[in-house]
This record gives sequence, structure tokens and C-alpha cells, in this order.
Amino acid sequence: MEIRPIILAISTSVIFLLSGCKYVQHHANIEARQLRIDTQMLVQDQEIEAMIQPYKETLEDKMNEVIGILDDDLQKHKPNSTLGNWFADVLAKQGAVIFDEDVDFAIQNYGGLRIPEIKKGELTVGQIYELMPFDNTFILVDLRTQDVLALAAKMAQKGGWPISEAISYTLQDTVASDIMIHGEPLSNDKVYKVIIPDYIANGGDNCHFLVDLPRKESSILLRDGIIDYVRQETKAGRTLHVDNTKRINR
Amino acid sequence: MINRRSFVKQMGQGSLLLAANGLPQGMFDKGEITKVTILHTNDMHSRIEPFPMNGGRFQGLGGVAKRAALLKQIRENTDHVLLLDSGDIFQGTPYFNFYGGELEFKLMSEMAYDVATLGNHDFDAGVEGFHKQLQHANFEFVNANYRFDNTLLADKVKPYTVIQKGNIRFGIFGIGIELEGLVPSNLYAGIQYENPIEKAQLTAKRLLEDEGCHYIICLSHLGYKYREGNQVCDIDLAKQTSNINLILGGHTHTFMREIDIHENKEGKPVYINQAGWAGILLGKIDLYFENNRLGHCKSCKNLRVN
Repeated sequence: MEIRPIILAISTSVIFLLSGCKYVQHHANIEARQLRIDTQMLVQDQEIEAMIQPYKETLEDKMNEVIGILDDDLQKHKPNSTLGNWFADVLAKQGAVIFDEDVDFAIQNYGGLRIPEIKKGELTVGQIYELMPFDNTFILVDLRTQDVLALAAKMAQKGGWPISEAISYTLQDTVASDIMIHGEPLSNDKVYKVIIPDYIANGGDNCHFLVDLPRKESSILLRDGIIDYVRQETKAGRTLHVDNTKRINR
Repeated sequence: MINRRSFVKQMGQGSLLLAANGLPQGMFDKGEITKVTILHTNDMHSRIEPFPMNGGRFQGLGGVAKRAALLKQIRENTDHVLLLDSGDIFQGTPYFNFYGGELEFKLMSEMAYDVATLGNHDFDAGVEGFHKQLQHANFEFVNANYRFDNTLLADKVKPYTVIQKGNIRFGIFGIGIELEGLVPSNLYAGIQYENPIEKAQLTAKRLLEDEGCHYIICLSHLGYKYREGNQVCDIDLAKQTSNINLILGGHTHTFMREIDIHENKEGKPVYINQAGWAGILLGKIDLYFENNRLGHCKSCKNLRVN
């Protein structure tokens, strides 16, 4: 029983002696830089281009179709933005059509909008895909006053999410107050009909409190709903109005 | 404390010296110098073509065909290259909506990516959708803190891989972000998230001690850092573990102006880099190793921690 420590001691010293003449890979230097892939770079890999080409051609036919005209730039910012306003307004309007209900308001999680801006003028199918690449669907959720408060608190905590024109609130630091719907304070007698993307209605971005609320579901993708809306506006001879009003006051 | 400013300055001078001498072996007596170039991307988000010329912030930037040309050019002048990606390959352009990630994987294979890890958006077509596209990927996927038992990915995604470049053994492992609340649960059904710090610590130890790796790289999709909350990030990962040499990050789409450096649990340097997103940047990290039996390193003075 007493031999063990001695063996250990010997083996340790052997390792120690050997280490002096053992080859070691030292980390001698590190040099880092970020290379930018920009318009100055003119050379393209031919094989890669050839691989992309057939995919690109099929897509382009679908994506380059102009479906509407934006009367101003759409920009994405927190808490208010033209892009957020437009998107949430379209969700509310199209949601009302899809569910055939009076919708009170709509919300959209900020992170779900995937491009920072869309320039005014022609709007293509491809831009809507880039804006909303996710296969999120329309859900109509019934919110009581306490649910609206919870949702507003969550949106405020996240720095302000896009909301449609019927709702407004005051954001101080990360706290929401003075919530108004259709210009009126929240009422305990009322159940609010709210369009929420399925990602959020199913508890995404930690919105667990929405999961068990009464709802109507649809399998219509937000993206397809928006494309339909734009087509209808164009067919009716209207351009797409960009609204820059502040819905979240600070 | 690592004096970052003087480190960066010295690092610059050191590399100038090496470049001016064309890596002379004699300069280091019997020490043999191996240079390995790490190239890396993250959050490519299906950005196959450059951003369209529509006046947007990123117009004209990125594009796989240009990146591939740049990669070829670098490979022509470099003996040892590792090409890595830190996840969120999928989602962001119609290429993903229509083709499910097939073209992304084919192009990465053609560019000869070595290893990638999974980001949260790589589950956007579900475990099944990701699995379906794996047939188009000839590179490896690693993740050490998701348990894939009884899912389609059980044998497909390994905790780590070991790649030898010259005489240098690289241990490369992946760390993923918590999927709950970020990805609809039906899309990642069966995958268990485990503590990233603990798994990183265990995996790095294994790579060092059992796999005999000289350099350990973590492909992380945790995110570089967060302004609010206590969500675990790459800086936490660097500070709270041992044996990791380099963290190549993703998720937060961070355009880092220069590589970041932190002390690990033992006061040793850990580097963190992230290359923006959408293939706008290609991170290029040249590593120099000195092989000798002197018991110390002749060219390492630039890396000393103050």
C-alpha cells in the first residue's frame, strides 16, 4: 500500500525530465484581419457561378415580379419605424380579411423582420421574401386587459416591437405605460382581437403567456398574406402608403 | 491583465518582421515555424448573391462567387488552410424558401469548407429539413452541447473533430445557443440543450488530453455579447473555460473591427472573432506555430500576457 506514492513520484519526475527535450508546438503568433467582399472585387469564381445559375433563373422569374409601388422608403428601427408600422398595419388589415373578424391590432416581433430597409418605388415579391423569410402564419388571439399588459411589457422589455396603428403606449427605459387602443385606455370588459405571428403566439421570444389563450389559427403565411394585400392595393389603383407616425412615445 | 493595445501593436510588428523575412527558419535557430490560415464565416443566411443594388446599406456586398474566388486566391498562396463556419447557414433569401438549403450546402462543399456548427436558423426547416440537405454537404458539422440521441442527426453531428494541418493537430468543436424560445419547439423536437460552458470545458479538455491537439477552436453560435440580461455569450465562454485558444462566433451578426482577446480561467489568452453576417466579411486569422525542444519559444515574445 505504501509503494504507490513512490511510483507516482518517480513517474512524475521522469515526465519532468523528459519535458525539457520534448518537441513542443508553441503558439508563436496570431495575425487577424477581416476581408470585405465588396463591389471592388470583380473576380467571380466561374464554377460557383455555374452552380448558382440554374437555381437563380428559376427564382428570378418568381421574385422579380413587381407587385406594388411604395410611396416612401421603409426603414427598420426601434421602437418606431416606417417598416415596422407598414408591416404591422398590413398584418392587421389582412388578418381581418383572413379571419373575417374585427381586428383590434397586430404586432410583429422586431427580429422577425429580416432586412433593414426597402427603398420607395417598385416592390417585388423577392423583397417581401427577404423581409419575411420565415414560414410564420397568421394567428388571431383573444387578449384580456392583463394579457395586453403582459404583451406590452414584453415588447417594451425588448425595446419596442412593430405595432399597428390602433395601439399606442409610452416607453420609458424598458417599461410600457399609458397603453391606448383605438385611442382609449384598456377596458376590463373588453376582449381584444389581436393578430400575432404563430412564432410569438406559440411562445417564441419567451411569450409563454400567449400559448394557452383562446385563438383562431390559419395556415396562411404572413408573407403570402402580405403579397396578397399588395396585389390587391395595386389592382385597386393605389400605391402603398408609408406611415411614419410614432405609436410608441418616449 | 492582457494589455490589448500593446499586444496588437506588437503583433503587427511581429508579423511585419516575419513577412519581411519570408518566414526564415534560421531566424529561430532550430525552431520550425508552421503557418496555418484560418478562414471563417458566420450567419451566411442563404445570401448566395451579393445584396441587390437598391440603395440599401449593404448593397453590392457579399456574394458566394466572389468569396469563392477570394478563397481560391488565398489557397494558392497558403499551404495550410482551414475553412470554418459558425452557423445560421440557412434562412434569409428565397434560395432557402424554395430549395431548402440545398444550394447553400453544395456551394460550401465546392468551396471546401472543413467544418461548420449549427445555428438556430439551421432548424428552420426542422431537424428533418436539415437532415435532408446533409447529403449535399461534404464537410462536417460539430456541436458539443446539443444531445441528438434518437433524432435523425444522432450520428451525423459530432461533438468535435480533429484535423491535422502540417504538424499541427486542430481540435474543433461546436457550441450552440439555447433553442427554447428561439426556435418553434416542433422544429427541434428531440434535441436536448446542455450547459455550453460545462460542455465546452469538457470537450476542450478531451481535445487537449485525449486527442493531443495543439490548438483548440470553438465554433460558437452563442453570440458575441449582450447588452441586457444574463444570456451566456462568447466572452463568458472565453473567461469561464480552459484550453480553448480561439472562439469563432456567430448569431449576433457582429462586425468586429479587430480580433478580441480575453483571459481564460487560467489567465491564458483566448481570441474571439466574428465576421458580421451574410458573407460580407471573411475572417482571416494567420496562426504561427514554433516547434522546438528548447523548453521555451523563441518567437513567442509578442504573445506574452502582461
